[in-house]
Amino acid sequence: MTLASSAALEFSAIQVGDAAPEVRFPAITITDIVRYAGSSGDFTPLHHDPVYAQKAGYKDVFAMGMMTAGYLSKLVGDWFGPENIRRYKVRFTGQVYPGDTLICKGVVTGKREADGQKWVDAALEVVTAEGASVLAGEATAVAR
Amino acid sequence: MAKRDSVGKEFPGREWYVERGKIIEFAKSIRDLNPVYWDQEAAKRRGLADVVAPPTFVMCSGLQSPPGTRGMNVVEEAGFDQRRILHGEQEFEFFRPIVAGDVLNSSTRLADITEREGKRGGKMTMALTETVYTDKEGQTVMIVRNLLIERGVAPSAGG
Repeated sequence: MTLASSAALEFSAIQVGDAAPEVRFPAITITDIVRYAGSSGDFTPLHHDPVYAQKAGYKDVFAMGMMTAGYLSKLVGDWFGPENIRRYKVRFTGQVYPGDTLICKGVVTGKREADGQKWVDAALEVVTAEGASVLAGEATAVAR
Repeated sequence: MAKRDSVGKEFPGREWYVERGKIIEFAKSIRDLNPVYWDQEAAKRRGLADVVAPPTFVMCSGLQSPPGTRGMNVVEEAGFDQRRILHGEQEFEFFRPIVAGDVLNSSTRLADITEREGKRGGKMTMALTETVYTDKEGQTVMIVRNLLIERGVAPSAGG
């Protein structure tokens, strides 16, 4: 194993339409949400105080969108290498409640050469085990 | 009411210290145990100076605000009602990997405020902010774009 090659994303080895290995997380718990509140500093009560969340019209506390985005980034990092990611975009499409199982998916949508570098584009999504969409995303990584 | 005249306003940030221990804590909280987030030797074998920050790591940067200070509140400046805010979109653009030991400066600009009719009735107002992070050499290392939505009406139960 050469040191450089372990970090590089091989442009020739990636094809448009390639799917990332699916990443599935166990059911989300309130403890998971509280742990992310502590690590991120997002103490919005909607995410940890059930009474507050219900008064605001939600059935329960729900995960921060950025927590789901963080979970999804594991798929991108494992696939492309965290150090090769040059763009990561997420759009929140639904709430994640305690008990939801998250399934992260990705597919290569483009390969291109621009600015003297090789780029790989991917479309991403997170769905619950029931099939509800909670996040849609995009990523771009630099390859060689 | 959103104040369109605050569009274009700049909010200077504070120095942000990218710390190894915080990266490990954050990586665990997103259930990502990739060694490049916690093992310096694994990071060095991949040509990195130190452990690398996960893509969304900057979300924790506000925790470094000194006691007694408040983070810049762009949405408050824009006149948004905190109780009706939803996070719509978030985008991170990287010009190089961010690693432990980086000290970054930032500046946030309220880039745009737009309105549209919500699917469930009521006007939705959207605020787009753009934060540029630069390193000690003055090079841009990351641009973060954040879209916040102010709902016009309360969500239905279970929504």
